[in-house]
Amino acid sequence: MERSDNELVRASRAGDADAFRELVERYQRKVAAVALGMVHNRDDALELTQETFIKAFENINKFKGESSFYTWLYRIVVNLGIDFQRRERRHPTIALETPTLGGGELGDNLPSEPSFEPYRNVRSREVGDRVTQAINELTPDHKAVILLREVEGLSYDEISRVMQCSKGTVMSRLHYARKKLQGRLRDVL
Amino acid sequence: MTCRDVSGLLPLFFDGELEARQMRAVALHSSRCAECEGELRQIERVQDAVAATLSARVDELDLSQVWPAVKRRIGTIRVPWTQRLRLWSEEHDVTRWIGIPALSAAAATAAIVFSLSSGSVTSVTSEAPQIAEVLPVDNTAIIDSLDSSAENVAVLNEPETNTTVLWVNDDTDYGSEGFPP
Repeated sequence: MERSDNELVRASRAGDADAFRELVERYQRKVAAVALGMVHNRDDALELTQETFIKAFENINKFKGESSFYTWLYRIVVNLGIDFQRRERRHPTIALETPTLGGGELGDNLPSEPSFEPYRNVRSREVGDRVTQAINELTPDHKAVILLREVEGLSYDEISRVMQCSKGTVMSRLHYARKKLQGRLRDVL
Repeated sequence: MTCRDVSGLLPLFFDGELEARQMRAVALHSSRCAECEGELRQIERVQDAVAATLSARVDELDLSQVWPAVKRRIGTIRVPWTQRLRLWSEEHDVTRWIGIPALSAAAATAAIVFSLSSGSVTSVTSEAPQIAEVLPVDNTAIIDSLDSSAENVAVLNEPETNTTVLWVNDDTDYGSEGFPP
């Protein structure tokens, strides 16, 4: 029978690495999705994902269970992602995966025939690259809110707990981020 | 409801964050208003594009690397014995039933150690009443050293009752959920 998050957290606190492994495997994809949205390339996203779980393990005895474990994990990845971006701004590095027309990181998945709904085919290089670029242009806070809502499907309440801000702030950030993305992607969506 | 009333509510409607009554009103309006329906579609397009793009990019990550890398790092993190003890006691709810016996045992041990170290034997004379005389006991503890992995250790002396308290705390306050800023 599958153990609950709380059972795994308790076992992890006592130093049970197998229990923590279950938590990592349960949430690594979700954490990686947020990490990928927060940073520019895959290597950084993988590193951010690993750092998130390491930090979670180091602080697992501080997790009081007042919110769900995944909310707590999201808070860690978002905070680390924001820190990472601030460091990047101070010491900019050349992104290894700068989107280029005709050679993006989304692979050779161009549709063989034109689609009536191009946004349904985001694996196409152009749309995928444009979306990635548009997300990268958002501020860290707006980026985090849009990822938690659009990718992870968190409610406003959950986002406010992750971001440690009011629900009103979540609404205004989300509104701003969506408007910004709509403006940037108007011609491809 | 007019477009003006609805426009601010459209994102909340889309995210399912309105009360049932408002949800119905916005749904009714947008089903009859092309402009507001278009606004909703625009929000949906952005959501689909963002979600699908990130999902596609996650598929390209080699997540099998995550656990081995994490395991290598957490292998060096030692869980302090104090934390394990606390978890064990929480799990077995031993704080109540262990308290009194532990206290008694500690007191008895302290008394034995004191009587042996002081070397004083109370002799009872034939004239004395057959009741053991209660002598004032100097139970001051002397701490030679402390060995703890905790960050904060305090020794508190309470002269009035001649009590020494060792306070060991490895909990740093990181807020309600304990994540360091």
